[in-house]
Amino acid sequence: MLLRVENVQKKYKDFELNCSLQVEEGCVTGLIGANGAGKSTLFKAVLNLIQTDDGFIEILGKDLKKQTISDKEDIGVVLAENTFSCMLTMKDIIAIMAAMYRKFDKEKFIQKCERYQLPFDKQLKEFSTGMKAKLKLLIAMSYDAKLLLLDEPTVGLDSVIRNELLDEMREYMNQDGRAILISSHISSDLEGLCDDFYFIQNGKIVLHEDTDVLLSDYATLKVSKEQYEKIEKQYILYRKEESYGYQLLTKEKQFYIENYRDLVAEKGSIDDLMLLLTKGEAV
Amino acid sequence: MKGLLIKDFCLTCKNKKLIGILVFMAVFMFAMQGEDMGGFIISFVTMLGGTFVLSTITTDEFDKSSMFLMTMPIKRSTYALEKYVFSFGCSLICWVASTIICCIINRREAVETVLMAVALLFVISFFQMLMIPVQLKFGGENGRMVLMGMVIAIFGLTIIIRKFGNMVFGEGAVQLWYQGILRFIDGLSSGIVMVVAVTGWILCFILSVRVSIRTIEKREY
Repeated sequence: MLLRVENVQKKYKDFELNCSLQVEEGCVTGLIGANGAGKSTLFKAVLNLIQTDDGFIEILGKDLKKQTISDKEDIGVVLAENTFSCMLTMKDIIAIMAAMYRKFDKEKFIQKCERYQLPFDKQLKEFSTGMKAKLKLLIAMSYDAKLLLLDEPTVGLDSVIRNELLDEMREYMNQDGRAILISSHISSDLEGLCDDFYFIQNGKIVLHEDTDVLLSDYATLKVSKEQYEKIEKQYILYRKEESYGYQLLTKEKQFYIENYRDLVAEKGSIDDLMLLLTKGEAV
Repeated sequence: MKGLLIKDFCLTCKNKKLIGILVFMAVFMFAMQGEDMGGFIISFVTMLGGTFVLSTITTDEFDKSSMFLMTMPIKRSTYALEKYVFSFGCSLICWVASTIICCIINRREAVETVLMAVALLFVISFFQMLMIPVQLKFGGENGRMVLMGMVIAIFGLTIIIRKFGNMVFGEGAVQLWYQGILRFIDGLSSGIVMVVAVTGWILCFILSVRVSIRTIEKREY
């Protein structure tokens, strides 16, 4: 296991983080939640950027509090809002990275930057959103880190660039002993990448499931109010009121398809799931 | 620390306006009254060199890049220490350059110029020891306001002591105390003065570094 977060708590005036999660070796784990759900706070806790009030974090098999400088060389990071100063150029960044990381692969980094046509002499403030996103990911992958912690790496990008970045992550995972924790509030593009998902809401993990299970067993049911009164509610997890009645989330898709042939059952998509988890109410 | 030094060097090189002003002012003063203004020129150039670090702290905070830096393989204390190394390094380079130029211009008083330059470097380093923790604690813009406030407070305090002392102990009393202190220092051997000055410098440096490290270690991003 490359990351274990146990009952980590952080209290702010109007927000409280209290969650647990695990990232297994060889896995890409998605952390899905609406804006303000606590994704970035969790990343900050794992990166020791904030002091937690309680709980335990183990990263690369070591207590976070005992983390050394060389341990940090095995963690690649993309932060949602920032990277190097926008005054710096790619040339500056290469010099800094070479001095910071013993395993920084300068040649490969330059090759990748050339492939994505990132200019070497321009300051980062002149980079487009897509260019910055590519650069952030390439930096995180440039020194053979075992664990990538990627906070919203695809936010604000068009689908072409998003797919390019997702391909980079897939290529990165081809090597054994690696893992990725990736957060996003746009979940659809992570369906084909992640092995499991954690859904976070108001600072708490409300659901954890393998992607295969999510896509095969979960479904959203569209029912009228009359139908809702009659159906078995034991397997209904969340419901959301709609103009036609209710939209329901179930983990027993097959049960409802077989027993209620007049119901509209749609295959579980991660975006639908997130919508029900955030806007709906637990049953 | 090497990576951080490279970063700050690169950031400073981007600040062409500040470097341009420094070079222009220095050349201008040398051209106008180089021989007479040696002390002022050395202190001005050295001081400006030392303040380059302020713009690096501001830049780190402006685009929150300091948060990203903390995810890299450095200790928080290294980040704070690097600011001292960078600031003292820049000051030293500027000090050496301006002292050499002043000595070349005013060859007859080269020894006096060097002695004065050493004293100036010593005094300026105290200001840096004050400046860095304040900047790290209060941030770029607020830090400047706090520093300005501190300078005004020191001036204000001096005026209050003078007025209050003269009012209570009679006109000219404070001036007499001041002269007495100067006479006392003058009476000490240069060895004792050196030991006291160096010890004071080391104590202030340790205190300043500890405050800076504590500020950075307690910071939440």
